[in-house]
Amino acid sequence: MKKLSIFSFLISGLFLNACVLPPEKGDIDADAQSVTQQENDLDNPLFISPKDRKGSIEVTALEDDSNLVEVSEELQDQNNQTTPTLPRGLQELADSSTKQYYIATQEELKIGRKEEESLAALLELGLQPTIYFGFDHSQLSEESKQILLAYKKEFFINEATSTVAITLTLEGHTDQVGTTQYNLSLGFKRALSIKEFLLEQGIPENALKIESFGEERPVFEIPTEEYQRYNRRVEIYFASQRKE
Amino acid sequence: MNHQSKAKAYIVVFAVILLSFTMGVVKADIYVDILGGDEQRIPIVVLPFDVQTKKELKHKMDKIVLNDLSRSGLFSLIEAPVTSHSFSSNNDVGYKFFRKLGAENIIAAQIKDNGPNSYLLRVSLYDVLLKKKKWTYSWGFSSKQLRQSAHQISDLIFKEITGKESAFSSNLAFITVQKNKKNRRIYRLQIADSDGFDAKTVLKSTDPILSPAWSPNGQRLAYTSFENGRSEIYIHHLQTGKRELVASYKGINGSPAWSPDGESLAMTLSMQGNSEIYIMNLLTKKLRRLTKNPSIDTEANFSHNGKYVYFTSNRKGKPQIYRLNMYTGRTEQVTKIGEYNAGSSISKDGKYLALIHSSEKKLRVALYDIENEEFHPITDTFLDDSPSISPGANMLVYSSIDRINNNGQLVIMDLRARSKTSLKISNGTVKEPAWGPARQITFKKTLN
Repeated sequence: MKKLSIFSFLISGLFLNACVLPPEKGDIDADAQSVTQQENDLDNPLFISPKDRKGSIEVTALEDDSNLVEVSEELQDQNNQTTPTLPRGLQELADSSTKQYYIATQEELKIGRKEEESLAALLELGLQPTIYFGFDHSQLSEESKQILLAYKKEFFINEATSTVAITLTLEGHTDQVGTTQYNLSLGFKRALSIKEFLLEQGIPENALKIESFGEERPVFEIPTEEYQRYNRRVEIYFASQRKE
Repeated sequence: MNHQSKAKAYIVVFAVILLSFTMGVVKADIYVDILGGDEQRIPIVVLPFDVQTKKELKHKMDKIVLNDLSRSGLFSLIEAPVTSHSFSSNNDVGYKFFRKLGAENIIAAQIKDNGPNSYLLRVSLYDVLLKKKKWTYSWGFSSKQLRQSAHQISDLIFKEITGKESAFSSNLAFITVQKNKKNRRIYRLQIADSDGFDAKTVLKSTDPILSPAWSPNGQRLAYTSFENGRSEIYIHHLQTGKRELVASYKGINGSPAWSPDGESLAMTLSMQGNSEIYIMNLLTKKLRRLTKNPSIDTEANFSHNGKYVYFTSNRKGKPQIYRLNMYTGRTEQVTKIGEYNAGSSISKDGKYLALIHSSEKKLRVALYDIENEEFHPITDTFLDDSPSISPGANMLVYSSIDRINNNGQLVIMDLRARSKTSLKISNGTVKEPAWGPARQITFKKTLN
């Protein structure tokens, strides 16, 4: 019963989150979209799943004369400025405290990831649970393991029967350093090491899904180490198993 | 605004030719080795083309040829104070005049109407020292093939005079990324001429498109697309726009590479949990696994004779290049020094790899001499990625970050002339270039 109440807290937190927060322009496509998704689709309001992303695709044949590149006005309007954007949630915290953009230090990035803080609280803050990695590394640090262990109890409805409340998608990302294709594999390897750790903790395999976006969805696009280290990460997304 | 100027406005191509690019630590002989000789620059006059058509041509073909030859670094282009010209007979040429200018070769070309929207081209080479016409090539082309035909003239001149293949008429494929008003990334798979001009979009998506790879005949591209929320490999028929989903296995589906016969595709799949290299027979869609170990194996590419598959693996901790002998099944480590060696592209003769190599704590493009196990860093740019060697092995294209705005740009480098041309787009990134195969043309050749 207690587990269930934590779970409902988790859900209500997200409902609140989805309804109260205005759509924002994030640097990460997933964030902007997930807000829209939650607003428009209240039947499926729960968690952000990478599957929910809706994209568009256009194909042109080369023999078609219309294939010449056209100037899109919306593209021309863009300016060249790259405004540093923090992950959603952190950005809000930053905005509410200082009312201006700033770059979080490594310490500040740990906001909401302390052992005693629950996933529910984290999600209520709009923070995407994120595990960070060193350059070209995919091994979990001891600290990351502690963070995952703290989340663990909330994954289960009944730990004894391995009944989980949620399924997780572990989405691996890398910095923009190195080759694109190696980074696609590295992002996957990072997600895989979290999966392996969670499997050791008794989370059933069918509750864990892993993907990699390599270096395609950076938090920051500024190519210096102080920014790039925030790109080396695995983001944890949740989806309810109760949906069906 | 017509199509052409639209394209020009969009693809702001800064043809920044830095002719005196300093090479720093690089030994010059590697270029000589790739090209097979240390020729002097060949003095040549390219006469303004004799355009005998009332229709206005969209491109100045002679300018395109001059630009190509100039970038190659093998020619010394001599300006002749004459207007457009084609000679009716050998006596017409005035060899003395050109000899005084220091020219050894004269190129004269004539363009005539050949029905609606098509032209006939005749290109002749005159040898100033021997005082005679060496050859004439002629072929027809449509108004859409103006630039392509100009690049083909450059390829012909290059081959006839130096005896080496060039790649002016081949294409580049690359990915552009721009943000729309909603700050959402828009990805485009584009194809352009080897000088970066005339870019055409073949695929536009709001999700990432990665790693385009040309089929050996240049008619198809394989690439990774995230259009369904995860990485999948497609084969795209360029002429028809028809696409085929070939790999959508659990986990990642990436890094496609064609076998030299175009019948198989090597790829990186992680359906067993870890990134491994597989080879797919495109007819039967049957997979064969090429690597098996608990570390990352990816970035396969075939040697041109099909004997080896080169790939990147971090099986000893750091990413290094390995190769699998497809005949014996034996795998050997190719690069042994350095913290990071990845993304290799092999030269046609199989002697060199262009790769991303860590040197002085920077990741730069280097040429790696496989036999002598020597690295030759050749760039001084920032966050280099995706080196790709041209079919004639005289040029290289790669991506790097423009430090002015942190956007990705392409750098086309002539390995011999050491000149660099950078290609950028307005408000966005260009990345992941792949140099397409050489193009074949049918023409009539007449001697003397």
